[in-house]
Amino acid sequence: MATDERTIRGKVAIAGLAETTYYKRGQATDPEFKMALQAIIAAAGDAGIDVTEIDGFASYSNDRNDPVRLATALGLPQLKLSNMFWGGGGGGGSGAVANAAAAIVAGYADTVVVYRSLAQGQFGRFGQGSGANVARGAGAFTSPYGLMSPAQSFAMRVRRFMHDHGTEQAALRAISLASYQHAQHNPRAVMHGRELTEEIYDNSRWIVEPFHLFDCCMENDGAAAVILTSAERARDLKQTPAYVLAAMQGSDYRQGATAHNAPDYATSNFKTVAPRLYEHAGITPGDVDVLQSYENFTGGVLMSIVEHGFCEPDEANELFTLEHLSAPDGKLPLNTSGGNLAECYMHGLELIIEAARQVRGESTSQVHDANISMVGSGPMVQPVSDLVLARDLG
Amino acid sequence: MAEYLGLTVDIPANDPDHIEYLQGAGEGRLVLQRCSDCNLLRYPPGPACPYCQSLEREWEEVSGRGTIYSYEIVTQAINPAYRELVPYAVVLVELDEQRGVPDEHEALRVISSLVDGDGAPEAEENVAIGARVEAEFADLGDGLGLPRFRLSDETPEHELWQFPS
Ligand SMILES: [Zn+2]
Repeated sequence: MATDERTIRGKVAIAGLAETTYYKRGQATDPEFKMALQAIIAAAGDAGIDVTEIDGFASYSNDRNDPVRLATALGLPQLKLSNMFWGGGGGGGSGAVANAAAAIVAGYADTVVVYRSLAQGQFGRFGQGSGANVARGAGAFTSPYGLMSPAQSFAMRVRRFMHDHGTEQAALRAISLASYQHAQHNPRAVMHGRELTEEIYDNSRWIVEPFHLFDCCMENDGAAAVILTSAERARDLKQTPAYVLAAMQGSDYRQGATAHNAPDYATSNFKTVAPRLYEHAGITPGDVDVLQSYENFTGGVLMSIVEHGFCEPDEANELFTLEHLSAPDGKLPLNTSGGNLAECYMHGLELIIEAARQVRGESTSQVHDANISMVGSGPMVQPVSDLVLARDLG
Repeated sequence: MAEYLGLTVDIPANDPDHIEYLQGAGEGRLVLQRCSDCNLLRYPPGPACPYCQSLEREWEEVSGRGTIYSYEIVTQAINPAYRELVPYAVVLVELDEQRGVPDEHEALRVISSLVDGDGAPEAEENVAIGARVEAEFADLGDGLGLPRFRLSDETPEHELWQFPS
């Protein structure tokens, strides 16, 4: 384990959490900014603190609702932290928690909210890629060839991984089936009441091979927030603290994705982040009771889980079955709220909330006696991030 | 104005690395940057050498021959200009030059289109990991060209691999 002075292990906890109603894209009736306020106010209420105790904000993926505006709207006495994790997609979910936790340990702020608000119907859509110019910006060397959306971009990496390791479509399918199965127990889930079977999956259209429709994240409206504070303070608050054992962020050697020239191509980009996470948390993959792994596309989930050491690349077909990925009794209960595929595409903040709910014993697909609860944020994007929560500091 | 598929090729004037790459293609040559200090080729074109951080480089023509490293078939175009082309193949081509240098994972891998002899998208059944390809160039006007690839008649190094569907 790393020296105590250089880790946040056990020093910070998630003390409160909340989300708004989750909607299909374009169906939110409130403005995005108001939904952010709703989630933050509700998270403070869940923690049992006054909203005015919040003194810091951390978010990611260029959230449009900036901290000064939020603090002003909420009448906060002072703002001590205004933090944005660089990078698109969901790679910064756990990273925002990491930044919030570090700020608390450093004494910059005392009560930091990590939040994400997303009304795709009111603004642009993610996942659509750009269409206007053919040779400008990040896509300069890819868009002229008609490679424009995230699905198109990531399919090439996943396909190479499947080639290298003999991964079967059924392994990807199992991830999707597990998410939908868990969503059937979760009334918050947008796909609650929409069962997915092997047959429905197999017959669904290809977005781009190897991604069927059900291998791709949804598009949604909503907002979510978690409140972080010192472990000491969290113990005096209303909820069971979800202690932060470790949070880590980063990107591997030359992983800038756009031109597809990373020397290690068929990767989810966690190969250097995961070992640092485990070292700081003082755990091994075998200690993890329940896992939330960001799904932009199922192939990235599979590669990410491999790179976190849960199985060898060539063993993925054996691990990735519905039985193994199901709560409560599976070998590796995965995305137990339904996640980005079936609960809500809250850019993975819903995964962090679910990880904390597992620690609190409040999941709708509760894993018995869950102690170590892990989150992986943003496979195949750059940078990515990770989080390990725990009920007991041990 | 240079154009491709009816779309303006919009490159900022302060991006000489990109413009010169397409100027090479306009002359029917696949050109890459070679570092003036450590002597390694790199892709994509850019201002710095990732191996030694030097900002000095010169352009050099390469063979344009390579092997498909990964590929996909796009069936839903994002940009309306590409809708007439679907289904079309996007390929990641590993060039013959500098494979496994400076370490075993490194290679010059270039994203491109796989087209047939008429410049139309190559048929899906002919696209496979391991297939040998060679560069060809689409004329963009204004002295610019766009490197693309077509299947060559060379014998592949390994057995071909296609997505099992
Ligand atoms: Zn150099």
